[in-house]
Amino acid sequence: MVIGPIEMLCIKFPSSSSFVKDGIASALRVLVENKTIRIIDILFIQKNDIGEVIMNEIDDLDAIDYSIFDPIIADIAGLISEADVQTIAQNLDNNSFAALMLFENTWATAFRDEIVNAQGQLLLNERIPSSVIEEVMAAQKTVSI
Amino acid sequence: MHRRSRRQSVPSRQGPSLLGTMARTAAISSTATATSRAVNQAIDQKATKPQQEPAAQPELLAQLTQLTQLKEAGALTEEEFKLAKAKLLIY
Repeated sequence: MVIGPIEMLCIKFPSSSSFVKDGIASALRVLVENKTIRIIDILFIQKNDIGEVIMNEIDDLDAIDYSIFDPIIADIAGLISEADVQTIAQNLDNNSFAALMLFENTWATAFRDEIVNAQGQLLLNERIPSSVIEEVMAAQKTVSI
Repeated sequence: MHRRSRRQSVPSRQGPSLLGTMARTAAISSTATATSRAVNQAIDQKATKPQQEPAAQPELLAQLTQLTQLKEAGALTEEEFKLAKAKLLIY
């Protein structure tokens, strides 16, 4: 099985109920159904009020609409280890909830394969925060006046 | 009605850590170029402990100067310089 570029994403939410809101589930469903991404692994991290880390599997959360994970859930291999969760949890405040997801950039697989065929070598792969883009664009406007 | 489809078994998650394995292979691989290492070092310096001796220049100014030197030495392209500078300015 060809595996496309894999990415790890951890997002903090105000509470576990914010994550299960329909908007996120629908948005993820669209991405998965369009084969834009595949969800490789997903879990949830909670830190209680005394800093204890609790890890929850998707199976533990009652309110999740499993149908969005159905095509993938059989493939979830548990690649994220408990050690990863402990490392990531260090950056969590007490009384917080985060979703941790490992996904495949399925959309990029063919493109990546062509680059490999051409013996291209990855030098840089950075997500640029929108605040940086805005700042640089604003500075460019100033320069061109 | 939600169709609930649980996995056969919940993963144990006792295997090697992804982040640790990544850090180890990055240290020994040759994919990091001189320019990306230089950029990362410039950014990492911002996160280190407070300086032992009083600085002649504020830390940020020293890092911007270093970036400019890297660019002038040809170690950074104009694009990389702009990007690294933007990163220094927002963090």
